[in-house]
Amino acid sequence: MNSPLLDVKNLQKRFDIRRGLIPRAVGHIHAVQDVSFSLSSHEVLGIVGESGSGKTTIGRSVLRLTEPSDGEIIFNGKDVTKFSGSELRQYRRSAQIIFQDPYAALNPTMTIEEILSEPLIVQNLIKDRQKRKERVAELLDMVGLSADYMTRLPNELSGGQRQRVVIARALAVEPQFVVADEPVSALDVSVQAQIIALLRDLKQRLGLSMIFISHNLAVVEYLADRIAVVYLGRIMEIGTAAEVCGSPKHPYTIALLSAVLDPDTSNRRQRIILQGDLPDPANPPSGCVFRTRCPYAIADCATKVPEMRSVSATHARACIRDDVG
Amino acid sequence: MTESTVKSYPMPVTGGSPSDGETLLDLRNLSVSYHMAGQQVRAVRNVDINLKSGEVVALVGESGSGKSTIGHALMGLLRYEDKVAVSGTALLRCKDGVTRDLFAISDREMKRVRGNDISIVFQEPMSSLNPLHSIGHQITEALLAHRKLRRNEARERVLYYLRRLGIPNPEQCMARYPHQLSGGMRQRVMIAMALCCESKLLVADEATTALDATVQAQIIDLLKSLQAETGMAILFITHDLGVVSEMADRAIVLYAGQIVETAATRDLFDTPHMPYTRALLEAIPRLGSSQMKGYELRGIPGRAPSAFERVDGCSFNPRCAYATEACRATMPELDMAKREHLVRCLRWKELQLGGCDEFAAARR
Repeated sequence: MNSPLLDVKNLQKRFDIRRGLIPRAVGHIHAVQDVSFSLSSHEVLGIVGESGSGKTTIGRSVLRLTEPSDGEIIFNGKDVTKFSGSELRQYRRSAQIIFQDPYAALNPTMTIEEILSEPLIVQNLIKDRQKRKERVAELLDMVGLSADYMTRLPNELSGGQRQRVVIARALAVEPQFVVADEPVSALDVSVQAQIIALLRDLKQRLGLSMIFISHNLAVVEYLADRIAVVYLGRIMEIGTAAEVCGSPKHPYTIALLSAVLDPDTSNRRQRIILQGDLPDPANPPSGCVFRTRCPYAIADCATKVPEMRSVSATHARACIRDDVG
Repeated sequence: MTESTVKSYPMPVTGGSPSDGETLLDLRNLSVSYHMAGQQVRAVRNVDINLKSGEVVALVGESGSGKSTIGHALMGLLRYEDKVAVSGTALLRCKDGVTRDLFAISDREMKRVRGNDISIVFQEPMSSLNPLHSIGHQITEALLAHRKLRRNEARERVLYYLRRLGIPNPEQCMARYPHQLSGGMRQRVMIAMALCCESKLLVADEATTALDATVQAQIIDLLKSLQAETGMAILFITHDLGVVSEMADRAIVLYAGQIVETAATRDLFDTPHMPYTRALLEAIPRLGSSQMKGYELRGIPGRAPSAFERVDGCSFNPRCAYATEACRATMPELDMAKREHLVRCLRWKELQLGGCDEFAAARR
């Protein structure tokens, strides 16, 4: 593997809980705690977790759409958290985002051409209007839409077509990596598969590096080279797609895998029903955050936050037990 | 465009469910049209559904296929809308032994049927609960509206169901407000509300869609055991074929407001005859793909027609890989592939599609 394009070290994000007439911070929610991972070029890293796990906050922090509270994000040898002004603008050219809801991500009053030209204008990449138009046509073609769509408005497009436009917009500035935040969750099954196939094709054709965030393990397994499983702001397990999905070593990953409903009954695992809900993130359990729902929990789990322990060179999990999986 | 008439067909018999074989709901020739922007829009076209006591039937379709409209029509929620026309008959065998046509009875009678004989769990637990009232108040209100019970009796029963649904500390939960509960808890409350009236037919409209995977697994397990225990029939409206295979005895696939295929669940997954059903099965991302070489997920090209668009012939023909001239000219009728298995496709006999064994084969 190449040297990492992106190296995230001990990322933290705290949101204050403000109360009172003159709002004061009375506590905070630790949305992301001690998250470390790396992304090589031409690699897709999947981040999987349920709602409230902090997966979106991780993605937004990496792009500095949300300011991280602590930690380092090393991109091409420089710390992104220290960027400001022009450096940050440069960074935005290298790192783009594909949003979840294509209905909310496009300005309804702009034509598709205007939407796709905007990043080129903002980043001052193509000054000539005619050339810009050619580039927009090229972008549309790349995501499988004809150039006729240039004059259309977003409301004339279906959800799948809009998501293609959102993807084209993210790729307009030729970023080095893209954060895709649940890009297919708002789409119908038949259209969802089209978009997944498009992303996979772009990954192969353009050598795109991507952080792919989703709650659907089957989708992540299909698209990602490596997978990080997050729970309550912490990484539970990280490894290659085959390691995490084929031989999971963390009880939470195992439960998550067993909850995927496959229409093929021969592909069913023994269902592990987790008890209860995600704990209150403002008041997380001591020690391992998963222990309150973990079928393998023992007394020691409450005392200390488990460290990441290696299974292989690429595979690690945060669990103190060895007999899991 | 020639309008198809649906052939009458023998009642499908399902295996596996504790069904007593008696027809509970006989929905015939349901059509729903909306009056929108000066034109008549047909959301549901000539749908027949037969449901026996204790049977779990899934209504599968993508957004805009008309699946929720069918549920709402059954609940009598469309009767107050003056821009919606519902036609057809829905014969429901009520608890008092009388069979009523839900589309012909008065509003007052419908009010009695609703909650007593048929209940619904809505999709969005966030927006279906009133934020201004406590959980306890809302559930007991629903129960008291349909049952002659004393307040403390109602409270006892609500507590029983909350406990059955695995809500820890139900007394405390009754005093809480919707925003204080998680999504999974809210959905449990919605289900408890629908169950406490003990009706024979439950319409579950995307009841697990908004939930996280692990919570969805909890709720499905719960619904399965409650169903087995009470013997209620469930019409499970969903777009998730994984949920269908988990829950349903029989599945009905909808496309553009029409039934395109219906069969016992296992049969539908093993030998789908309609190209749409087959393509839908192929479009589901499945676990295990990282261990398979050369496996490609395939989407269905194009998109489903909106209710405004009229497609000549078979409504799936613009997206179908097997479409011929004949498919563009004539609307196929529901044909019987075998007992209990109906398919709306001109070419199903020659195609003999079969299941998606590529995946299973690739996995081996």
